[in-house]
Amino acid sequence: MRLLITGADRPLGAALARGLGRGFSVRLTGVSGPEGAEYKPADLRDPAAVAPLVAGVDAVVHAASFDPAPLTGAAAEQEALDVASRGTYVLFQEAMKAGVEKAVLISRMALMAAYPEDYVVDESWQPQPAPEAGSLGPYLSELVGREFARDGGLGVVCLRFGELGSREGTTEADAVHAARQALLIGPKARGYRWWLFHVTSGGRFGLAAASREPLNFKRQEVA
Amino acid sequence: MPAVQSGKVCIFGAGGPVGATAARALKDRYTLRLTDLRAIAEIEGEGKPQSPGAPLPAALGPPHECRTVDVTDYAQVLDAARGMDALINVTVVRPHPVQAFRVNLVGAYNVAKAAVACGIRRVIHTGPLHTGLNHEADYWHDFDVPDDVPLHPGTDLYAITKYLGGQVMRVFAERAGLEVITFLYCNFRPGDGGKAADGSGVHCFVTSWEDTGEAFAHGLRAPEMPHPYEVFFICAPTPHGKYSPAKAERLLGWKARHTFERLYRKKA
Repeated sequence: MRLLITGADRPLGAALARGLGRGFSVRLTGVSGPEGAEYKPADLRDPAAVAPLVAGVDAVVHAASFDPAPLTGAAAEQEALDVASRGTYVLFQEAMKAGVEKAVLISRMALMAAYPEDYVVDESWQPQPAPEAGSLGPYLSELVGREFARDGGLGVVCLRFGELGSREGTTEADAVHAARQALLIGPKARGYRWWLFHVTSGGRFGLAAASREPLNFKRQEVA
Repeated sequence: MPAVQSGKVCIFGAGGPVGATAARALKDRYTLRLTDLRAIAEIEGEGKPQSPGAPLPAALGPPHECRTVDVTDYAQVLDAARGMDALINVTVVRPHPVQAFRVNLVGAYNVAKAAVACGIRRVIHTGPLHTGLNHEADYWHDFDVPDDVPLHPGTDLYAITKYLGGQVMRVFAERAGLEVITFLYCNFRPGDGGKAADGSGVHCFVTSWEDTGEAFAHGLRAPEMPHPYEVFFICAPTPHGKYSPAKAERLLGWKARHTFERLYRKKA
């Protein structure tokens, strides 16, 4: 399977590139750094830049939605919202045009953090983003991804990760394992192809649906 | 108390027909700050209605004010919001792949953020109810669809960007203390039905331009809402009952005066 991984210049995207590179053919993109054999920087809001990235791939792993590049300047918040929403929209639109049938969209468990700690919060609970751009970004990416799944053109597996590299959040090993499992979910023939899973390595949020079919996620042992 | 019985109101997107009809309904009761990307006088001077019978804006004189504001620029939005008692956001861009996100989503964020920064509680936001998007999860073949039904915009650029803007407004209402009243529309007509012949039929979600404007007056004056984010169908009642304006009448006291009966009844 050939993959495009976004956000590869950020910690999560880089971890997924390393992990999924074992077993998959990967093409990488981010917003910074020089072009290399596998890596090409691109603004995901630019259809002309995205089209060649998705050409010939079987699936897109959209990690930039979890871990966007930090922005500065007076309009940083507005730019972040635009990157999260329009970037996801253009990426998935161009992927569909290229015949890609599956996307893995990485979002944040922080969307559920506003609930009291003693609540058993699973995927059926409504996200509670804070009224600021950094929190709204992954939520808006989720909403965009869900509508692509609703329109029937793209199967989207949304994985909510906790802070990367933390046992209270999501370890790199668990992130890679969950993304790999998500890529293995078989496409349904038709209909609403949207899946949502909480993937954590510990902490307050349980695995709930992630450990069952179709993701079959198991927490990975860390040496 | 969020109800705004009098005072100063800023309308973002006042150059469009919904903004124009809102200003017409509010100008004798409130001091208005009319803002748009283009000068209101310039739009008025062109004299090109968006559709046959659609209202044009009027560049109101003192005590009102007209101001050029780019809703995608937070500094401009914040400056326009200062000193206001309520904000109305009727900005919209439909087909442009970049500006649709900038105006419909980022613009909504800027208006909500400015409201919080200025201590303004009541915001009236607007958007479309796309009655038929030709995907299996739209509500085209449903009836008694409630105002609060989750929108399923699909990937239609206009529908999804306005939907995302509405979600941003909801988050600000629920988490930042705003009271956002959202009006949904679909099809507009002059109150007399325009040039359409008797018995020629009418859209299932239709509102007269005149009733559209009056809804804003009701929205501003209405008492505190049951929830910080309330959505209303602003439409005429129809015999099929597909979409009902009953919630707007119950909570806002707004009722459509134009019901277009001559259009949905066959000629005798």
